[in-house]
Amino acid sequence: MEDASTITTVVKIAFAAVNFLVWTGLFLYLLRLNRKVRSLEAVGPNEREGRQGPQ
Amino acid sequence: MKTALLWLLWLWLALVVVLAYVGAPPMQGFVGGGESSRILFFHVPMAWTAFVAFVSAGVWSALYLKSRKRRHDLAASMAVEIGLVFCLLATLSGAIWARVEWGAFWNWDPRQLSITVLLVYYAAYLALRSQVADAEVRGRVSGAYAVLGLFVAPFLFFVAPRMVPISLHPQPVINKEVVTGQEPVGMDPSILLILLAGSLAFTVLFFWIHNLATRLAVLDDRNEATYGAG
Repeated sequence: MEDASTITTVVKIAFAAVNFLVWTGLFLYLLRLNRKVRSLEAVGPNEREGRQGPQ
Repeated sequence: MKTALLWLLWLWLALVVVLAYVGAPPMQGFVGGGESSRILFFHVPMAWTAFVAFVSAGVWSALYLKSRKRRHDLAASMAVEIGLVFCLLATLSGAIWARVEWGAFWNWDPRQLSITVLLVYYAAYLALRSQVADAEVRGRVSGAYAVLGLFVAPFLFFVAPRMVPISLHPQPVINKEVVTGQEPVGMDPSILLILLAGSLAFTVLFFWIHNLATRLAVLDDRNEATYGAG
């Protein structure tokens, strides 16, 4: 019985670790995207595209 | 959003994840000594967030129909897209849990049916948008459709599943008096606390993703307006 309980605990910790990594990965991606969007909003469309705007 | 607040969200959801697996006690009446009930901490917040997303899509659409600002239309479509992702995740996690608890992924349960109809309803919203080339007409037609969703989504989430008295879904957890003939499943206060904390964190996460997606869509829209599509 103790063995089954140990396995259950290990499985639960493994699930928690995987979920934690997925969430942290998603969070860091969103944080990076947040910075990118902010920098895109800060520059004008011409600079963003590296093109000359309509004359 | 301030970066410090975002890190607070990370900490909040990280705590929910850890507590969901190692903090909450297993719930009585579920398979595996109650361990299968842990899906509750992710499945319910995802379904709730999908509902919030669809309602906010309706609100953004109503704002668009009133103001005719492109940003409102884009915000509505982004809310539907993100809501569909959450809704799909809720459906899939529910199906996996159903396989463990009921023995089959699909059981014609009223809640399985209602969430599938909801998925189709909002997938049709995206199909409708993709078929209208003119931005003004697209905004008006899809806006009216999403405003109708303000009635459809609450009906399919909360009313339709309760109209059928027999359900396999563990409704007694939240709504003991609705389903008869089923043993009520006891919910520990700590379970309820983690569930509510998770639902709140998922809701904030939705609004953050929605904010980013809308800003990106606005930038893309401006580029298209300046240089044309492609």
